[in-house]
Amino acid sequence: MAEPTREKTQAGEGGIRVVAVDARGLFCPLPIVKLKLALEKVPSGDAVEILADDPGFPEDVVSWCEETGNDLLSLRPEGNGAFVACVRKR
Amino acid sequence: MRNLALIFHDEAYDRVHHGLNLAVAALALGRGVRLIFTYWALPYLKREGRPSLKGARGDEQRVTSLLDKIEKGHVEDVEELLERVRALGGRIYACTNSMGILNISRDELRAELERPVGLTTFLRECSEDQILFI
Repeated sequence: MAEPTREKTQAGEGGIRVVAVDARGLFCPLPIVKLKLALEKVPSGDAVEILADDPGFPEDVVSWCEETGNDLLSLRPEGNGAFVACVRKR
Repeated sequence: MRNLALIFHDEAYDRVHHGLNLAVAALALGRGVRLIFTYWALPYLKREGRPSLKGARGDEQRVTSLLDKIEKGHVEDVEELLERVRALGGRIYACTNSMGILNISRDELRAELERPVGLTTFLRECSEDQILFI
């Protein structure tokens, strides 16, 4: 069974609340699903910061944000093939 | 984006797994998804006696490598994916023709499915969709 993702809330830059999701070890399409589900739980304007190491993730997260209209605030490598994306709910 | 319609035919665990992953990914993108289970894939919708993870049919090497990734938690199994499809709003149908071929009654299928449909109805409902055969 896929492990539950770890989530925690923290204060982000500019005062918006950020929920952190660790989706490392999960293969496509799970990281995007976890992002979607986490965003559903936050109010508009808050953000989810998701860490994932699935190789398709950097491009998938860009595509997903474009398609769903959520804001990709940042996307950066975190080492060991992982990327962290900060997505603000529209 | 157009809606997606998936026609499941094959009983091989890796094929059903793949089709469900496509469904989940499409649903996460906001596409509507309809799935119809037909022929040898239909037993995956039974209440009891569904094809199981351990006794999965399909090419042995493929299934073994998939099971390994499932056990390590990298991907979900078919049961979990079916639940995810449902939770994300995918609509799952059983094919009446296949119910007849395999002698499976509505009572033997899971309760949360859409009504069983024939191919005529299904094809009409997804006539504008992108259709994939799994």
